[in-house]
Amino acid sequence: MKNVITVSILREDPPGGQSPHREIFEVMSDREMTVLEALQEIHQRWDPSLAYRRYRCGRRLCGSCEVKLDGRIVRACATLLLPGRSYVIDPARAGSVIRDLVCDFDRRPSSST
Amino acid sequence: MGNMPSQKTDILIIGAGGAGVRAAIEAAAQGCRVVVANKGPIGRSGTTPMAMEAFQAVCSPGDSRELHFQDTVEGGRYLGDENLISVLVLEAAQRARDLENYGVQFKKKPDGSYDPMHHPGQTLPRTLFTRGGGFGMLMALIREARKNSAITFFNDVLITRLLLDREGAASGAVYLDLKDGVWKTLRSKAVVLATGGYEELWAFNDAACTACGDGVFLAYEAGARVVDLEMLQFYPTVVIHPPSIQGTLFQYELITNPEVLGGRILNGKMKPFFEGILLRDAIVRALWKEIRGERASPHGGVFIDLVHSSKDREALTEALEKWQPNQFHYLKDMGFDLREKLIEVAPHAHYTMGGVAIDEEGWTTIPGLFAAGEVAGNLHGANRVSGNALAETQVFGARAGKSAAQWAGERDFENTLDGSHEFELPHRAGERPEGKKYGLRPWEARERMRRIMWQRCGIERDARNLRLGLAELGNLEKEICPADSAGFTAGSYPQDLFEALELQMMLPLCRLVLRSALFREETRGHHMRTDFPSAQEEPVHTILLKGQEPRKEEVKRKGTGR
Repeated sequence: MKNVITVSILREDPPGGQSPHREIFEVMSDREMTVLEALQEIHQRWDPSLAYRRYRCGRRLCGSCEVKLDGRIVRACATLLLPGRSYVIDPARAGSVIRDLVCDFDRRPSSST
Repeated sequence: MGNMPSQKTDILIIGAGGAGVRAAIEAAAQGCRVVVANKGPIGRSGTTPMAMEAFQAVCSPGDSRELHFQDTVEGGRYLGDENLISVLVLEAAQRARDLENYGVQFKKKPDGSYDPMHHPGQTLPRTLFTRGGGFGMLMALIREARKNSAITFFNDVLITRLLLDREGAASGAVYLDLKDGVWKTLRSKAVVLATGGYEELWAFNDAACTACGDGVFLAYEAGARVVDLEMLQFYPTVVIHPPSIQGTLFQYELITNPEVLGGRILNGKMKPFFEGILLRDAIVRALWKEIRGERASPHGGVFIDLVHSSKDREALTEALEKWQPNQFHYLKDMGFDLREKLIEVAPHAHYTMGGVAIDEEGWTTIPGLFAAGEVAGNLHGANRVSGNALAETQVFGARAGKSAAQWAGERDFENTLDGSHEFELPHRAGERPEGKKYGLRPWEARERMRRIMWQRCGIERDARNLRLGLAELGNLEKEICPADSAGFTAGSYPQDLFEALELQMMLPLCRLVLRSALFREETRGHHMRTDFPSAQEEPVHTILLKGQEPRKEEVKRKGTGR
């Protein structure tokens, strides 16, 4: 659909024992949205349990919002999603996931992915 | 509380921004073990990474500390404490040299001397251009701190209460470890607050979403004096549209300066409406007059116009690359080339001058509790001058770190922190008052709070609106229950619980801000009371102190030591 952005998010809660699985969300929008805006929309309107980092330095410098978008690491605050398109969103650092898209910056990222 | 996981350290520093990390470096240099606890990942959260390139310190021929002092006092509309300002101007240049030793680069002339910018409110050019802005500065500080193994960083830690020992001295904190969702305590001989400001209380701000005023709330709850909470600085030129880039700050000091960008600021009718380069409070008033007077741009702001810059395209591009490279490229990649399009901006909440009352050595009014940086009040008065915020983090961060180390050095760890002590302020989880529930999502409650604050205690204020704001906050509070009794998803990184706990600290702080704003019956600096349009002759502080009864605070007035 023209006014829908579809995202497939890798969900994971390691200490909770929940193994990684994908969930698909459809965000209604007739304009370009940043990845961060879309995640906020999903957390607010669809799934209170979705964990992501809200912080946005506004200068595209800090990298706290990094996620993997279609296999590429991007800054969620500064990457636009287009209506009518589908995307795959994974945590930026596999192996150091705290929950869902929130990664632990104290732990070294796994080198396998 | 007895069964909560607990650790010990000499000094707990809350907040890993410029002030907190500088305090850690100083305290560790004095031989203390230090834990720096941060609400997000260090270097990737908080206010310092968002700071512009400006660090104010005397560096030009003919300039002097006396002039820096005078500019800061006048810029603050005579409300800043002169003893604190004296310390700031005395040590700013020395702390800038420390930063250079840590690896920070300031813009220099070919002969190796500083190449400062001339910002509004400065008699002579005094703004050192910090490469990489606040982010670059913080990275260097963190690298320096990591060299000392006595400093440990705790990331993703939400502190909700300070611990006081039997003598009433600060002795640690209770926190939710967001990594595993477990409540823990950290006991210490001293605590330094370096949590930044509380801009997040307002709907439109250009600050970090982490700037919830945690430190001001924690200090007030523990019984410390807080001062001039109504003093909120607005920044005039922050992007309002489109939503994907809303909140991006563009330095107004550079826009109309013919030697820098040579641009214009225009109202919705495409007309310039002020002359010269004004101080922040004055330019905010000029903008607000246009916005309120039906001369606003389509989304309720004014335009930055670089399309008709006095410079040709090549020179403009060069200037943008030189002075605002991050903003320029970020906006360009988001579809807004400033050389081709006008961009809509409006005043946003930018810096909170109010905060925890401190003295020259960084002491609060509670033994063992220190504060530095934006969390502290009474330095800038009613208007902060550009460049004094980063300087403040370094001057007062170092002082608070040193004072905390001295205090901790005189305390006997076992006596003050003996487990048999009855600590005040225990954390009681999970008790939900009868008939109470969380009637809306935490983010919804937060949005409502932020709108109330913007509408009732924004750029223009009056008694009627401030009282309405208090009533509306009261209604909002009735719709929610204690965050940890609401049944939010628990476990690691509990997003809704995290946001609800932040809100639980922000709501009482909003109340204090409104009370403070009501109490100041004058217009001074950024506090614009339409029902009291002029300044009173004598500048006085508004001081709040927790009363005996819940929700009753004592209000005091105090001169500024002039």
